[in-house]
Amino acid sequence: MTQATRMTQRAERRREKSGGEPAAPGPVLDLRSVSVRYLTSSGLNTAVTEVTATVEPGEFVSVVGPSGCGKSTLLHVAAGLIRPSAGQVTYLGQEWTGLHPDVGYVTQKDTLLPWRTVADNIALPLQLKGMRKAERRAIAADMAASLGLEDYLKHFPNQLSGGMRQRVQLGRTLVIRPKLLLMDEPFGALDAYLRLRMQELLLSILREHPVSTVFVTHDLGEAITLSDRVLALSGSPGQLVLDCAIQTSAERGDPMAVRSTPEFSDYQSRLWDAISAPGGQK
Amino acid sequence: MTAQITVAQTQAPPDAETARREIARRRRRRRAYVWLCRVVILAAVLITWQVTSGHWFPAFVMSSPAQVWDRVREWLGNGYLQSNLGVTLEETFIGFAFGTLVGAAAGLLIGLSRFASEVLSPFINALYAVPKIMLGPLFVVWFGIDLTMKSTLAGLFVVFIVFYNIWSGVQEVDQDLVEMFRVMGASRWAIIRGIYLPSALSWLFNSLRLAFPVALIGATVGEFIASSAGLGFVATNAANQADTSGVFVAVIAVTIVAVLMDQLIVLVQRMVNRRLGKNEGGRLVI
Repeated sequence: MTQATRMTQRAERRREKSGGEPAAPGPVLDLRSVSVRYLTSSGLNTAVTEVTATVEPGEFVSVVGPSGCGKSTLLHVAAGLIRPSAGQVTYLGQEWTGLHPDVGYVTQKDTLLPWRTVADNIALPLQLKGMRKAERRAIAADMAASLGLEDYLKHFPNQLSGGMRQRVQLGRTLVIRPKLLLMDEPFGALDAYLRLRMQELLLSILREHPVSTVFVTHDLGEAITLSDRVLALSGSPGQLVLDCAIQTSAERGDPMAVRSTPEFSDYQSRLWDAISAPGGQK
Repeated sequence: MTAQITVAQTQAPPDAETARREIARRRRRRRAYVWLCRVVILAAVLITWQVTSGHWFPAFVMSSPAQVWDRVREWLGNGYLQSNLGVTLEETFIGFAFGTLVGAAAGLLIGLSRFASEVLSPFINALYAVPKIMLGPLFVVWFGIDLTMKSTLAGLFVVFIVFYNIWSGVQEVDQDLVEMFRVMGASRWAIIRGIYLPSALSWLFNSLRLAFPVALIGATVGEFIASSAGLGFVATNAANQADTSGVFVAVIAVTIVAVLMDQLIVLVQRMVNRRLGKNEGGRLVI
């Protein structure tokens, strides 16, 4: 079996698994010539300019680039939190009308509620949707179990390590079965070992709960390990300099195996060249 | 100390149960020393007071522990202390309750609106700076010299402390949490209930600890202004008769009430904190 067909099949499987609904025709997210400009005290500041990209159903797309190239801005656009100054955003076939529904958002920062237990933190979005207590408890317990948190349901966030807190945040995000998962350097604050572990966990949890994902990181290795496709942004204002599908000979659920393939270093140098090309980063 | 550690090292490492018992034992012993020192200090003060009274200063100026004790026994016997304590407590608690309610509600409401906070902040700061005792005579005109006047004075003291704590706390709520709720599609009310109210609870308790002694001051000062009962009245009345022992009894009674109430608030606060996941001194689970 060639890698390409394996990849397509995996995407197919994810599509089938994502709740019996008919697969939405076309991409989950479609950005066309998107530019974002801010008005700041030092004048007009362009964060990203003319970015065109799509996220297909079930696809894992990473966005890499140096600091200040507008990665997070692009993620805010994807969430519908900000409206682009120019260009077009289509989410699930609909043009921008405000905050996109069914979007999961994970940041590096800990936004768990300190006065809620692990179970209640995971169940929070279900509670906000008005789900009954018994039902949301059960769903939260299932989610915690698939994140390896089953023994910590009654713990409070300040009793957990950083990696565990990040797992709880992931659980809280996935529990509503989002149609688009947005992650802004979620593992940025973790040490190297824990980061690899979390990458592994993320891939395995996404096999269980498939969802189209946009993952922002400045770690090229992390992007290659996790993604079906990597978008490289560069410069200020940020421009899309490379849109690169990732295929390696290794099993993708295993970050260390992917890292030891020859393709890995090829991709790494391609991405590195792209983001550090002249005209890009000053 | 060193010897103990050396001995422990030469022996086999203790099992968990022994270690736990040893830690508990040392903690108890330390606690006992702390209390011993406290008792010694108190005893030293009382003895010095008793011995010097009548020698360095005349006994009718200084009184003495023995005389204070006599007065306590006398006033407990004829019910004078209890009835006046009851009056002061009633005034204090009514003012404390109303002041807390009004202060917390106003602090939350105004704090939730950035615009209202910005508009009102100079007025709030000005009101905070007013010496509220000065309003006492005004309250006599408005409410007479009964319970209402003293409770209002106590409540006025409390209102500002609670209001200020909650108001500034609300403005310091982590906006990333609010953003997170918004992305989850939470309504305004869900955000208030889910973030602001739980956060407000901890500021509330901190302010209550400050507010209760102040409520006591409000009530007793109200009694100084005009009254025929209460511990403030007991103190002024005793002073007018040059009965310093009586004044000391009133002061000590007020102090005991304040300390007991503080302990009670701390106890409730601990219970609430446990529910809110703020376990003090707990070990991290890795």
